[in-house]
Amino acid sequence: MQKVLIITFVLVIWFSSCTSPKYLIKPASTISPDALDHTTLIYTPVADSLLKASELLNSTCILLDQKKYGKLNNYLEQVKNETPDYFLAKTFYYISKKEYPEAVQVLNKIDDQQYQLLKELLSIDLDYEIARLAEGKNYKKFLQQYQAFIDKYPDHDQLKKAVAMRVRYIRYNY
Amino acid sequence: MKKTIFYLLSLFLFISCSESKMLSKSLSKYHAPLNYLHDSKLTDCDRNTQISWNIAGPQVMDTSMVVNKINQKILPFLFYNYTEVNLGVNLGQNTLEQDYETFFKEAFQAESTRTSCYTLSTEPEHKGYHLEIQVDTCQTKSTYQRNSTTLFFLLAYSMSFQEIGFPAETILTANVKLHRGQDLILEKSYSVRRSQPFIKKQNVNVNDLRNDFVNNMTESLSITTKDCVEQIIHDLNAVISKERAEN
Repeated sequence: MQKVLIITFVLVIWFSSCTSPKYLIKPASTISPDALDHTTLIYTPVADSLLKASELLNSTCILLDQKKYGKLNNYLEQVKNETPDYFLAKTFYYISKKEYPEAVQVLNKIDDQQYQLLKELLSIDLDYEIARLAEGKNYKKFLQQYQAFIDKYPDHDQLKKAVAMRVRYIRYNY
Repeated sequence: MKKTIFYLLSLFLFISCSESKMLSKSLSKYHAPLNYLHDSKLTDCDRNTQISWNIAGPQVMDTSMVVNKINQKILPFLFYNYTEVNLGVNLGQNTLEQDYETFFKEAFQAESTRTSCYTLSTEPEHKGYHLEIQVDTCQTKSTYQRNSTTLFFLLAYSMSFQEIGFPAETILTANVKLHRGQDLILEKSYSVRRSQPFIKKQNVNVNDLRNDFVNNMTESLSITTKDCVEQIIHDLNAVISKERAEN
C-alpha cells in the first residue's frame, strides 16, 4: 500500500512538471491569445482554411494538442511525401520535440505561398531557439526581426498578439 | 525585562534593514532591456510639417533600486510558524540597460516615424512648430515577498522558504507643450498608470525569479512609455490636422 502511494506521488509530481507545452500550435479560431498564460508563451496560429484544406495538418494539430508525439511520428512516417503540408507538419513535430536545427531544415523545404507567413514566423522563432541553445541570445536583434515581420502584415491583429507574446518570451529568457 | 525588549526590538530593526539592503543589492545585479514591440499601423500621412522638439529631462528616476519594508507578519503557533515579509521595490536606473531619457526619445522618434503627420527636426524654427516634452514622474513599483513556514512534529520539524514577485506598476506623467512661433497651441498633461502581469514559470530558482522580477518592472516601464508616447502623437496629429484644415 505504501509503495503504491509513493509511486502515485512520484507520478503526480512528474506529470505536473511535464504538462506545459512551450509551443502551442492550434487553429487560429479556437483560441484567444488574451487567454494564454505562461504555459503557452509561443502560440502559432494556423489559419482555419489551411486546416480544412489539409487532413495531414489537421491531424497533426490534433495529435500535438493531445501531446501524442509518438503517434504523430508514426503517422508522419506513414504519410511521408514531399508536399508543403508534410514539411510543415514535420516542422511542428520537431518543434514540439525541441529539435530546432532539424525543424529549420524541414521548414526551409516549404515552397508554397500560402504558408509564407507561418514560414517567416517559425523561421524567426527557430533562429531564436538555436541562438538560445548556443547562448547567443540577442533580445534587440530578435525584437527587430519580429518588428519587421509584423510590419509586413499590418492588418493581421491576431499575428500581432502572437508576436507580442514571443517578444515577452524572449524578454524573460534573455 | 526592559533590556530584553530593547535587544529584541534592535534585533528586529537590524534584520528588517539588512533584509531591504540585501534585496536591493541582489536586484541591482540584474539588468533588463527597455524595449517594446511597435504594434501601431504605419501611416502614409502627409509629413510636410516640421516640428522641432526637445525633451526636458531632469533625472526622473532613482539612480539605484530602492527597497523598503512594507510590512511583516508572524504567526507563532505551537506546531506551525509562519513569517512573511513584504518589501516594496522602486525601479532604479542602475538596473536598466539604457538611460531612460534616451529610451523615451528613441521611442518617441520611432513612433513618430511610424504614425505621425509631421516630421521631427532638431533645428529650432522661430516661426515654425516647437514641441517641448517634460517627463515629470516616472515611477515603477512592485512588491517582493519572502515567506517561511515551519512545521513541528514532536522531535522533528520541516521548514520551507518561498519568494514571490508581484506585478509591477508604473506611473508616468508628462507635460507637453506645442508652440507655433510664440503662440502656445497645445498644452496637455498625460498621466499613464499601468500594471504589468507577472510572468509565472514553474520550478524557478531565486536567481531566475529575481531576474524575472526586474524584467517585469522594466517591461512595465517600457509598455507604459509606449502608451504615453502613442497618446502624445495621437494628440499632436489631431492638432496638426486641425491647423492644416484652418490654413
